[in-house]
Amino acid sequence: MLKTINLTKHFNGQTAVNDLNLTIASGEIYCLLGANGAGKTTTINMLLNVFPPSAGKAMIGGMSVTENPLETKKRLTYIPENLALYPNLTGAENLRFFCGLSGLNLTNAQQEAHLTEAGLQPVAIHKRVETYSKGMRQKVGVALAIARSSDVLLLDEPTSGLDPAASNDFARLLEHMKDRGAAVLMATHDLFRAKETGTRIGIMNRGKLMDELNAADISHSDLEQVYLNHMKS
Amino acid sequence: MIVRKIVSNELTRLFRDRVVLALAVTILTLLVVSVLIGERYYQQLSSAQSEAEYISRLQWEQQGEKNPHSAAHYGTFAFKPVNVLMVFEPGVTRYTGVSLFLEGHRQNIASNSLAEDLDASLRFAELTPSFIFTYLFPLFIIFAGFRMVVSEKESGMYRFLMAQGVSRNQLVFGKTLALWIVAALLFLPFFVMGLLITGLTSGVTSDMTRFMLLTLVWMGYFGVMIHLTIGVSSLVRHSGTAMVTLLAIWMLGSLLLPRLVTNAAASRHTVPATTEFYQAVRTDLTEGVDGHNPFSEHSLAFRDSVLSAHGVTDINELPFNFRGMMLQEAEEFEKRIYDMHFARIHAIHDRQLATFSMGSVLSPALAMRLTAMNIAGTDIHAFRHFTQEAEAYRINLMRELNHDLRDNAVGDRAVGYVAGHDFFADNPVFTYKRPSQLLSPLVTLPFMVSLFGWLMISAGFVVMAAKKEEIV
Repeated sequence: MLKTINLTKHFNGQTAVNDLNLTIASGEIYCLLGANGAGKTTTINMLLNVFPPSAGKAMIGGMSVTENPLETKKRLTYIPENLALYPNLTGAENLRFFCGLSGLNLTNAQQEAHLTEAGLQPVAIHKRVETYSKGMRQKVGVALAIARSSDVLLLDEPTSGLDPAASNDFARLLEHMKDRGAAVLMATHDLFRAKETGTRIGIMNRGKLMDELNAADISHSDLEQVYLNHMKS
Repeated sequence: MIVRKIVSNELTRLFRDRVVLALAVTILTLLVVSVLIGERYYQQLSSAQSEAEYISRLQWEQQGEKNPHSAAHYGTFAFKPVNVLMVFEPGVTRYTGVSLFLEGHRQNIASNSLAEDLDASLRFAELTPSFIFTYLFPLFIIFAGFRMVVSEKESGMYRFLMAQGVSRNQLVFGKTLALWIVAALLFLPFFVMGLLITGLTSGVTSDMTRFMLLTLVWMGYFGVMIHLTIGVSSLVRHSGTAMVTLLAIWMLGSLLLPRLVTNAAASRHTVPATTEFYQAVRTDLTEGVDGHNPFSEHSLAFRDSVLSAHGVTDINELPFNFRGMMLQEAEEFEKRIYDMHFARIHAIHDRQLATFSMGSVLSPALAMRLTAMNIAGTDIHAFRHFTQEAEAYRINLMRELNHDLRDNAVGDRAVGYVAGHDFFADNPVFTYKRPSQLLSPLVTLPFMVSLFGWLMISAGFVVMAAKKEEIV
């Protein structure tokens, strides 16, 4: 569902992403671990077609994101670290607006159903987003993915700054999305969450994918050791 | 589709923004108050003027049996009908006045310096719709729109929107359209009031057409501010930078440049002071027939030429009263002198206008005000037209008075002759008619071109800002 082929990005002579090859299938959560500057966000930006790659290809649903920007964007939902929603609109209004941008006109009942499915309390649905916690805002993002039946979820540090309970809630939502058949790419610093939530884990350092692991085959402590070893190299 | 969603979302958010709402309510209240104040002033002025016009005519007709030349010195007034459009754009009307005293031998001055009058009209002096449209409405546009695009970048929404398939073009165009709609909605109640006032005052006439043209001019100016606001908001990275940049543009275009231009026009093309003007006229008047001095060199020469033409040696032998003829000769000479001096003043005004034309290239506010004044008929040209009409009436009236004296006074005893009540009652009445054309193309064209140019360039600026590739 999501594929990068020799994906490379240079900024002012510096290599941010170097020859990255990723394949993420439907129903898979791929956690991309790495320190700041490892190239995780740059990878996501290329998948979003924020800027074109210097070399290689980023593909979603078999289509190049640079050649089919609108088609590929229709199939994905992006949730950044701080999901920007309009503070003086309600959660439901935000959802309606963002769905409307892709031509999806939701009824009030559908808005409420999707937001509830994403874990938002019914009492919060019609409150302005300025009163929401970060976790509640992330749930609106997930509701957007549900409403749009997104094939791909691109998550950039989505649990950063969430309290443990909210982070746990979010992990459950990702499981839910995986069960719906979405291919999830989550960039994160959080080794514990990557091990708990991910199907596969990739470790990036200085733009290169250093290692790929199956989450089920490795313990928390081993993952930490492998990660640290790659960071040192 | 996407643009429509962006517009509707933006409008919902703006209507929920308490600061924008408070500003909109303030502007609307000020607009309504300014229209009501202007309309009341217009009514009072119209009524006072009608009364004064009636009394003035009555005084002329009922001045009793009098020597026609005494009546010429007694004088009368010419009144310029109060223009309902001064409610919206008073222009220089409040500085030039709406009446002119007409008397023998003399053309009176109402306005001396176009630049000074215009400068006065550009000051923060009175609460009028034109003041609000020049200074406050653009500020509202800036406050409502400066964050529109840049805040999306600051909050991370920009990238999120791009991820939804929204292009930068659609985003910027949607925001521009939303700000246009907000400005139009805020303008709408004023527009309705304006139509009602012009319609109720003068029916469906040229005033209503002029008001609609004024609306186009004001909206054109707002368009410039809307485009600049969205363009700047799209190009900068911080709201603070957008605000400071736009306020600087506002201060420069609305306050500083118009003042600099008017000062430059006044100092480069100086209009003589009133005393200086009349001194120069008096000097030139000594070069011709003096109606009050039959023994001046020119008066004697004129007398001799008349006597010679009629083949007589004494004015008592002439078949008409020589004094009446000489007064008319003097009046015509005086008119030529006055016309020549006024032509110089008008030429200076025209040079000042040329300076304004150059200034309006830099300041859309100046281009807008000068175009609006011309369309409203409250600029110096409208007043010049009135004074020219009044002068044509004055010289005609003086001719009637002098000819009456010439034809009816016996011999040289002009002083003892009196005209009756019927004569004065039959003298023509001054009725001023505004030019039928809606604007003076030669005067307004440079300003209209400037304003239109600003509108097009600012629209191009938005298009350029929308096309700019940006990584945020």
